[in-house]
Amino acid sequence: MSTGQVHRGREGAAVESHGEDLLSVLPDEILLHIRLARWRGARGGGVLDLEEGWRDVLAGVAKLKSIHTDSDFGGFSPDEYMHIYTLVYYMCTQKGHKDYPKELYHLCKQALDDHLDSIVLPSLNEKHGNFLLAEMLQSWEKHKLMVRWLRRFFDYLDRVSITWKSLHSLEHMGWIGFRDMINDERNGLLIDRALLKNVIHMCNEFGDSELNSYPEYILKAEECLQKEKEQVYSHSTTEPKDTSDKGMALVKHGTDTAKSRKDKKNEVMVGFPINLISGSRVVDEILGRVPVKAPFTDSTFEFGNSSCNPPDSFGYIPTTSKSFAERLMAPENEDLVVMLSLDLAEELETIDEVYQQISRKGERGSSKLWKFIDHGVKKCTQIRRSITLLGGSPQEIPNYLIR
Amino acid sequence: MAAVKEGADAGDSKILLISSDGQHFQVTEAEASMSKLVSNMIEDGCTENGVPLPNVASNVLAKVLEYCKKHAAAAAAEDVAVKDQELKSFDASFIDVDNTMLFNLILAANYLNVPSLLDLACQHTADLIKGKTVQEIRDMFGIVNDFTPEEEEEIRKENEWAFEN
Repeated sequence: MSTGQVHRGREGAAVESHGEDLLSVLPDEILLHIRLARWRGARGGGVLDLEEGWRDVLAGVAKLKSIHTDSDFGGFSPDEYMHIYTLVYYMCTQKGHKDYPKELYHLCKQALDDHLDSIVLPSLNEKHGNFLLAEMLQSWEKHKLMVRWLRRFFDYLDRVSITWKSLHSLEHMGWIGFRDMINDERNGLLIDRALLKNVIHMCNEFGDSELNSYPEYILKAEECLQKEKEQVYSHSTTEPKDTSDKGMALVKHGTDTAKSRKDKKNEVMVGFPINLISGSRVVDEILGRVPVKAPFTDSTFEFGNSSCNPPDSFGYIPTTSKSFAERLMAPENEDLVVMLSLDLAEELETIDEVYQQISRKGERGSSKLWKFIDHGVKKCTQIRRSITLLGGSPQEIPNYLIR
Repeated sequence: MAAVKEGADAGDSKILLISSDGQHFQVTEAEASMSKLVSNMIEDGCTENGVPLPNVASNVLAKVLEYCKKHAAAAAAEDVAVKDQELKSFDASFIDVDNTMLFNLILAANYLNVPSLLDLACQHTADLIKGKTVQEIRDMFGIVNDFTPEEEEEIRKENEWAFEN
C-alpha cells in the first residue's frame, strides 16, 4: 500500500477537499497494510486461525449494524471494502486441512440470525396492526440492504463454495433468516404473527406473479389491512378509533416512499422462500437442493392458498414428533450434522455431475464413470449413517444413482 | 500504464487501481468492470481515491488489465465475426506465458472475479497436463511428492476409476 497516493476526481482534476480525507484515512491504510502483511506471513507459514480471521471480519462489518439503528448509513470506503473481501478470500483459499469455507458459511448465517434476534425482532415486539406492518416494512427494507452488503463482502464464499455445493446463496439465506425470525417462537417474544404471515403470503404471491413490484405490494398490503380490520377488529374494542386514520396514513406514506424509490432504482420485491423438505431445520435451510424424485413429506411447510385469510385457516407449520425430537438434538451434534450434511451434498453434487456426463455421452466410457458413481454412493451411504447416528435426517440418495 | 488507450471513450470515467506493491493503474470503468469485484464496487460507490488490490502484484495486474482492455474494447465493437476471430488470436498469444505468470494470472482472475480470463488460464493449464503421467505433471509444475507410499496408495485406490483404461 502506497502512502504517496495521488488523489484525483475526474481525469486530471485535482479535488482540494480530498486532502483532508486522505489524512483521516491514513491510519486505516497503515493498519490495513500491517494486517495484510501479517496475513501474508501467516499464509506462508502456519494456517490462518479461523477464530482470529472471523473476529477481524466481524470487526470489519460491525458498522452494518447501524443500518437498523441510524437513518443514514454511510457505506464503506474502498480500503474497508477490500480489507473485508480479502480476508474472506484468504480464509477460503489458504492451503491446509481445514475446510474454512464451510465454517465461514455457518458463521455468517449464525451472525445474521443473531442480528435478527437481537436487533430486528425486538423492534417488532409488542407492535400490532398498522404499526406492526409499518415497522415490518422498514425492517425488511433495512434487512435487504444489510444482506446486499454481506453478499458483496462474502462474494468469494458465495461464488466458490456455494455454487459448487448447491447451497443457498447468502442472499437466499438472508431471506430465510428474516422469514424464520417471524415464524419461530424465538426468545419468547410476542409479535402479531397472523398479520405478518398475511404479509409474507402476499410477498410470495408477488414472487410468482407479474405484480413483482414494491408499490403494488404496498397497495395490496393496504387492501389486506382493510380486510383484516373488518374481520378481526369488528368484534373488538381494543383498537382505538383515532389510530385507524394514523395507520392508514402510515401505509400511504410507505406507498409514496416505495413509489419514489422504484422510480429511482427500479427495484423489485423479493419473495420469501417457503417450501422446504423434511429434516433438521438448520440442515433444510442450508441444503436448498431437492433430489430428483425425492417425495415431499408431511413436514413440508405450507401456507394458505389465498390472501387475507383469517388466522384460523392458515396452514401453520405442523409440529410433528420428528420435529420435536430434532429440537432436542444437542447443539454440538447439530453443528456436526450440518457439516456432515454439507459433505453429503458435496458428494451428491459430484456424482450427479458424472451421471449427467454419462447421459450426454451414451455408453462411451460409462463403465469407468459408473465405477466413480458407485464409489461416491458408498461414501454417501457412510455419511448418511453418521448423520442418522447423530440424530439428524440425512438427504436421500436419488434412485437413479444406484445401480 | 501506457499513455495510448485504444478503445477508451472520451470523457469516460476513470478508475484508479492500486497493486500490492503500490503501483497505480488508471483505467476506464468499462475496462475495470471486466472484474466483477471492481464492477460491484463501482456500483456501490466505493472506488473514490482508488481501489487497493493487496493480492495482485503490479506485473500481474498490468497483464490482467491488458486482457480487460482488449476484451472491453471488443465488447464495444460492432463487427461480431471479425471481433471473435481477433479475440481468439489475441487470447492465444496472450496466454502463451511462463508457468509463474500463468499461475499468477489464475490467482488474480480468481481474486478479481474475471470469469473469462479465469476460464482461459485454467483451460490453458488443463491443455498443458493433458495426456501426461503423474510424474510428468509433477516435474512440469515443480510439485514435490510429500505423500508416504501408504498415503499415495490409498489415494490411488480412492481414485482408481481415473487410472483404469
